[in-house]
Amino acid sequence: MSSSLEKNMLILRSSDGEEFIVPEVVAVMSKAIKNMVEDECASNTIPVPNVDANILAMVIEFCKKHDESEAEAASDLKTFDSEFVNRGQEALYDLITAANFRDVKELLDALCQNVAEMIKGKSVHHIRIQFLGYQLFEILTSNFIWNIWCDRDFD
Amino acid sequence: MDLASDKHIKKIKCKLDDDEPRNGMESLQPDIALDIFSRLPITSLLQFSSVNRSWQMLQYDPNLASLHFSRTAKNNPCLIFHCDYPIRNQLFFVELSDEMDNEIVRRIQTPFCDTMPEFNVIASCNGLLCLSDSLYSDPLYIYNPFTRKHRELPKSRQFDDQEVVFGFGFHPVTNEYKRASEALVCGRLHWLAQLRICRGTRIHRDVAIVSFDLADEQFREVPRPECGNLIMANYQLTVLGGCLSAVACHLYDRYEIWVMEEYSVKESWLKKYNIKDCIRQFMKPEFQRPYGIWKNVLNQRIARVLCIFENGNILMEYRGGVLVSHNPNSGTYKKLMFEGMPDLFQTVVHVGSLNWIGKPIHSSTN
Repeated sequence: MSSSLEKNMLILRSSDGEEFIVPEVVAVMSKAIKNMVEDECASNTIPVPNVDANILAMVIEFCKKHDESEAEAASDLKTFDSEFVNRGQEALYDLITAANFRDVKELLDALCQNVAEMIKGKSVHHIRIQFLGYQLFEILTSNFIWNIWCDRDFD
Repeated sequence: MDLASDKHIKKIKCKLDDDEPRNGMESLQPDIALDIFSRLPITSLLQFSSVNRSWQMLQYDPNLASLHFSRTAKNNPCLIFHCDYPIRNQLFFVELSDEMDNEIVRRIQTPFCDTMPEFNVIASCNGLLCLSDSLYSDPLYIYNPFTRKHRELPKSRQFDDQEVVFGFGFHPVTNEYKRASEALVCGRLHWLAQLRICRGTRIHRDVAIVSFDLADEQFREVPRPECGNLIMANYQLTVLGGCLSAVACHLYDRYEIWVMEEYSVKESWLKKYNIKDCIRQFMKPEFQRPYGIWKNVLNQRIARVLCIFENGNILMEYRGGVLVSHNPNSGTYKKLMFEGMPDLFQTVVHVGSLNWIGKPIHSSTN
């Protein structure tokens, strides 16, 4: 298979065994992969552990767009980014973990900004329930304790 | 806030039934959490410290303070309103979003108000305010208006008849704060000084820019822009985009903004903006003659330049506390009104930060 592979293409294998053929310029947007390629310790197939096919496909989509649109208007890319990161929490956290682990700086930046926008201006209770998955019991006890210690509200 | 609403309870019940992973954001790596937190406005950051213990501990992370400052300093600033009316001095603040709508002005507590009921705001630097007693100059306080940390500084007056002028700044190399009110660029504070030059029998008046280096504590003269001979009352020094800038007011309502793009290089002074019909309509009629906190700030001028917003608009403040956003491209003016805005105030441009004097942050933006 690798012999039939075009030049400057790499195969990325997700944790669940699915393979993706990706141009090298796109793959090396991950600094971790870039290091592997530069050190020549990578064969044509690069395993991407801890990242499943679903998430890997998303990361590749993001990198491809950013690679293609270097010449494109920055505003177009911004629109793409904001649409790209607009996902459910589960996918977001998986993507963040993948971007962090694989060291894809642009993606990590866009994702962190998105989470910040999501939690900005929310109430503490909202954060506990929506973003930390607190249970009712925890909410009640933590409220009791933290309301004693914290008087952070501004007048 | 009504949080025990039915909707929430239903959601929680569903969660119990699903038995799905409960961690959510907590599953993220600590450095990622720190990155996300550094993108929040200071009020959210402080509010979220009551979410749980690990979020509270984040607040004390010096890396968060410096990362947060470096990000926030690039955004629109936070405006602090100082009121000396009607009786007690008070501080208010507003955080500006990109759209500048629905902003609400909130009060800042002043934990030192018993010892210092009337104060001047000397300056804001790296998220800290320097305040002094408006009658006696002492005591002096360093105050972070968001974390509410404050510290009284050593006495500044040694002699009874001494007049003390204050400035406040931070030197990035020595990591020290010094109080030496004026523009801070490149670790130096800048003042305007009146010169009297005798030419024969005539006394010629001129204005010079003098700097005080916070590291070696030396005074130096800085080249001034070629904006004609002006008396000091018509001049204002400020910092725009990290550069020392001079606002020259001609004939009361024509403003030129000069920016020194390369520090201490005379040729780099550039006339960047020319604000022509600086309208008097924004000025409050009772402020034809300035009083109170306004007495010393503007002298003859009717307005001063505060900062440049992210979108390129210039924020100006008219006597008595009227904020106007000026679009230099279209030449239009818009009066800024926020909910809960006090009547009479003076504005301080500030960066909301977790910073404190024990562990100074390194700002790369200024």
